[in-house]
Amino acid sequence: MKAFVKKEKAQNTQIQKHGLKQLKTLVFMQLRDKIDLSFIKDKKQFFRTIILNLVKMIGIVAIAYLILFLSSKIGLFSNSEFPSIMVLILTISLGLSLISCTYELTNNLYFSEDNRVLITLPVDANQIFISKIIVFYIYELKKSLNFLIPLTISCLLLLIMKGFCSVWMLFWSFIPLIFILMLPVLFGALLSIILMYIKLFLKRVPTIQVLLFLVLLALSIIGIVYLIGLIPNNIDLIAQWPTISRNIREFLLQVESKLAIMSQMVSIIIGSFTQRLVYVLNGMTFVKLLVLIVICGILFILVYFISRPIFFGMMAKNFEINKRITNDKPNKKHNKYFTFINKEFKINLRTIHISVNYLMVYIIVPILILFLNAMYKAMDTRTLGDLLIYTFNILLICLPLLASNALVATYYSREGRTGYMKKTKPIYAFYPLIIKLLFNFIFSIPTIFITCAIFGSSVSFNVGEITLLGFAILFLHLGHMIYSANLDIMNPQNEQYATTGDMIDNPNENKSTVLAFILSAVYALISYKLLSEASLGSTDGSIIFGLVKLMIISIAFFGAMLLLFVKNIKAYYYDIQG
Amino acid sequence: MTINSSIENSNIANINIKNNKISTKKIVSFIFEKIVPYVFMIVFAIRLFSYQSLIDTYIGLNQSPISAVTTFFTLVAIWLQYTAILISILRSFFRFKVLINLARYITLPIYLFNLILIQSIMILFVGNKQISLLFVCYLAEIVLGIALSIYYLIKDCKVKTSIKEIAIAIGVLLLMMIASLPAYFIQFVFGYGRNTIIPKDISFYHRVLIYIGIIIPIILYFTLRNQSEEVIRFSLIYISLATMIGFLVNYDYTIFSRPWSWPFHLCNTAMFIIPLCLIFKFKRLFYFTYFINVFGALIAMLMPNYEDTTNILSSKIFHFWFNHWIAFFMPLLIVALKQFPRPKIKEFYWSMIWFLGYFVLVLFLNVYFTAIGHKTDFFFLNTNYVVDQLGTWAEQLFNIEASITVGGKILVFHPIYQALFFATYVALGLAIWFVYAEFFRIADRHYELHLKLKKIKQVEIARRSVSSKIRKEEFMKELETKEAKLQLIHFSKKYATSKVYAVEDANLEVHKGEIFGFLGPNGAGKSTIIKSIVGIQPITEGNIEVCEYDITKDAVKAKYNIGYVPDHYALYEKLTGREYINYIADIYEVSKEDRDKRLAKYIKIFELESSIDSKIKTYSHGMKQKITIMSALVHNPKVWILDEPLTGLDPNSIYQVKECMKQHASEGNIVFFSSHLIDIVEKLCGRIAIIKKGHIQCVKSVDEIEASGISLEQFYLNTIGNNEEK
Repeated sequence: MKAFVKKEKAQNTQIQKHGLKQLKTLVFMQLRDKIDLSFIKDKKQFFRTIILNLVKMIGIVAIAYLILFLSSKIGLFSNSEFPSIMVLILTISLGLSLISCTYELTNNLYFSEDNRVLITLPVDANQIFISKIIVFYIYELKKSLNFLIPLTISCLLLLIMKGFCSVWMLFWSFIPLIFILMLPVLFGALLSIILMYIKLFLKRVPTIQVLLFLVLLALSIIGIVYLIGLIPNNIDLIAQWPTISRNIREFLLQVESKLAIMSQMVSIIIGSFTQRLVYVLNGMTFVKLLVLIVICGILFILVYFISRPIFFGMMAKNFEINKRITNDKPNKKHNKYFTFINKEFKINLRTIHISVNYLMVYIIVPILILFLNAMYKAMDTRTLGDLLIYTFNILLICLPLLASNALVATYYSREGRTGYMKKTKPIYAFYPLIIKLLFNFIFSIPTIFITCAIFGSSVSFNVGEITLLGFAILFLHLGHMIYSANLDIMNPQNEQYATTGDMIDNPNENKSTVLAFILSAVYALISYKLLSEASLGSTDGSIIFGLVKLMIISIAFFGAMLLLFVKNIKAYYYDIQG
Repeated sequence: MTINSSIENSNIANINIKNNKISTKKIVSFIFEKIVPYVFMIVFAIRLFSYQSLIDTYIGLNQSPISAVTTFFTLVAIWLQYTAILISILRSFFRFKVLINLARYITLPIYLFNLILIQSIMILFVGNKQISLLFVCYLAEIVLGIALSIYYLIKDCKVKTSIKEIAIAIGVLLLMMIASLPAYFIQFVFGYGRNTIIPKDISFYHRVLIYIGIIIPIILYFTLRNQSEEVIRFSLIYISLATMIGFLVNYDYTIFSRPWSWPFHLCNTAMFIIPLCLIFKFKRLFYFTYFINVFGALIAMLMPNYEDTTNILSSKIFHFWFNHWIAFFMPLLIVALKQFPRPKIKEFYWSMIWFLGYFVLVLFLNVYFTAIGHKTDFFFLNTNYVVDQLGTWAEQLFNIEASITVGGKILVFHPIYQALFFATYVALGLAIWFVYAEFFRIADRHYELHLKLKKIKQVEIARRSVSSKIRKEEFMKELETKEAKLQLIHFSKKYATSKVYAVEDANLEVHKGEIFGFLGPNGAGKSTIIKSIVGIQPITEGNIEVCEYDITKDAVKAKYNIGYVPDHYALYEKLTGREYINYIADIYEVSKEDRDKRLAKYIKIFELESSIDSKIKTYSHGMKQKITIMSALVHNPKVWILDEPLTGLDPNSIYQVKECMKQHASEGNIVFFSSHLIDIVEKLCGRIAIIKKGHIQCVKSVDEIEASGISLEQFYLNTIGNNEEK
């Protein structure tokens, strides 16, 4: 009997060992997907990577230390407010981690493509689930090396330098941090269930998805605009410094009092404040650490028993092909030319990353200009200052707008082999090629004019001047857009896109971006020259002539690019091999 | 015998007369084409320096010693004379239609016009009409000019000229006059105007001059690049000589005794170097002007060093701009027009050697002339003009002096400043090289584009002359009446990067109702032929005709008749199957009724009822292939081309595709398909072609092969294998 028990025990140990080995393999397999682990194999590379990362961390520590030191020197906060700073850092860090973990775990646990591979492996399904959580935890630890850990070290260093705690605290701090960093992963795993159901629901009802996106977008825009509105009309840092400093201190104290849980976590890291005016580890610190460990344990059990079954369910569901029986839709006949427009709009609106990319640029540009001008308004400027404001505004409008055209430099290639099929159709290729730019063109018009209106109204331009500037920038944008399209036509990358679906280092994209920067800078310089001449040269200080000249330059650039585009298509498009 | 001898004698006499005539003609031609032009050059050179000029001192016609109207015409006559002299001299070296017309019709009136006004000309030049060296030279110039004009009028009498050509010659003359405009002309005719305008500091007027300085060379480049080599060379030599003369009118004989006033400034040297290099093809010297002068002139144009009291219309500013402008654009234009090759590192070295020589020369001239009391500042090496623009640090460097005493004269150098000046210039010369290279790359690409478009236009014109323009409705009707036919006539295809033909001299004819199989190993050229038929790839040689429409010349019409299924599906995956097919149907202008009918039929055949309205990205490989086939058939093409269409299809779908092919052919259309599945080809096709290494090995009917007692597979292997052995 004893021998049997012993044998069984040995067998169990063997199984456990084997299970752990499998878990390790699973973890490493998935980690390789998230982190480049190639350095482990090579000793030299291993040490080099370690040293490099160490140097990087020391650098961050040094910078953070310097900032904190200077901040305390200029009286931004006093020594007693250090725990508040740490609470703030911890809150921000954990908050961001929680968001990223929730989002990534939702995708990784329930919607991941690698589930299909993992399920076929000869391992226990529980191990797959645990391995996923461990991978995320390791990844979280790695991320914390860039922010939370160096910032905590720099805070502790400052406390040590000021004599508020001992050097040993530096080593101790890593122990609570190991557990603290478990929290976003475990909470994220729980929250990801809710997010997953929301995602599934939104997938089923795309209208709500769009509406929700629009509402969130509108709310963020309103929020940002509201925040920009809070910028005071007059910024004078030196005169207002006592008030600013007092407000910051009050804010830090509020942070500490409102975020009691975070304060407790900080007290685990740095210990308790004693009557001897130093932070030391005492019995209470260890009790708090124990509570933290227990919380982590409870969370893990919750995750294991709540998330795991859903994970298995989703893994199986993923394989089922969702066949949708739809009613016959009628065929629609369009004009030969309109059909291209129709197709482009459908494809663009259904290609989320393109739409979002444009949407972001088109939203960010006016907000950026609004912010910039709110700042400028608060400053006291003279004629030269005003001219520089015009120039910077034009530069900042042009830069993101033109840079967004880098995507246009991949437009035709992104179609992969489908792109060549245009040549087989009974229509001169110029038309479908130029129509491809229509989507970008149409959506850029309101952005450009709204941005110009924001800029114009803040510098007291009249409607005519705003319109002129709008057209000037629009033509420049169009010219660069056509230039980018031209790059793609003359040096197509269709095969690469057809094979891999994407291209990391597309030479056309790079060229388009480089020209966007050069063009924006040159255009801003020309604007400065023309506007300075117009405003200084004329008796009434009107800049209308400068704007007219600017528009003529833009139209000339646009015209030249369009002409080259047409000629290149006629001469080369059909010669480029498919 | 006597008669014979008299005939012989008369023949000999005739030959002698003929020979005499020829030799006289030769002598006359030698005198007028070899001697007179050189004499003309010498006389003109003496005239240029033979007087102390008054003409550049007048500001406005009201200051003229003669009436305003006479002054104006006299000035125009002088201006025309410069142009005419160059035309007459250069005519003996060049021979193209416009120059021939200029030399025989245009120059003569100019010389006569000058003869009439010679007294006024003398008054404007020297203030009196007395007989002087200038008077004699000017008169000699006119006489020589008239003689040359009459000579060319007689010599070229057989060359026919239309009124239009004369008009062109007059137009060219007007353009040529721009280059020979004397520096004082504008100042004399227009005065200084009401306001003092100084084109400096990138002001509006300064910018206008810079724009002109850049735009005119571009116009010249575009105008000249399509001309013959002779015209290009003539134009460049003419511009360089005319502007050199315009530059020299500011100098007279007294300059020979004042070497410190000689044109040794960097950009001044360009006025002489450019014509010299062009005429005598001094390659090494040319690159000195290319790397050094251009850049120096550009800086001078951007930061001119004239005084603030001068006016934009003054001869000084005109002189400055003409000089620097020519030094800036001529070397670039010469290289752009390929009169000298694009420089390589060797040319750069040579230019630097010349630059070093020039630098040392002007350095010693500066210090020597300064030491003897004439403060010269060639190339800004001797004064603090440049360092003033740069600031105190540069002034401090400039103030470091070194002096040596030679023959009692103290020669003062600024060694650090001068060494740095040289080094900076060399570095900038090197840097600007990359800018030039980029410009030339753009210019070359544009020229290549221009030539390509020209070729396309010629093809278009040729096409128009063959068939008249057909209205769309008529074309649609015509389409219906056309019979299905596919022809490859001596078709060859070579890829741009390859030296060998991918397909060579392929001939093929497929008729209506045929299912034609196209067989061959991988890389044999099947897809190349198919892609050329459907228009994806251009044809290198030969023709492809689809329903009698040439795929190159009548591409759109030909493509209306083609339905194409590529070897790998190519679809817009964000669209639904229905949306995609409707999009294709729209392009082919398929009516609503037809597409409803056809789509319903194919959806049923290919069992896509449940997925036709789902996005293509959700489809399996086979489903995508089915959509491709449906989109190729939606316009019921006369020629249906399939490139390995059955890959990835399930057995049922393969059967359905085969049925579709049979049905399509039975309706009088052509089905042309390539495949590796020989048994399917055998069962389906009436005829087959086998291609190997770009050559069509055979075109045979399947029945014929089977009648010979072997299977298609065996025949195919034999054809490919036999050839392999060969």
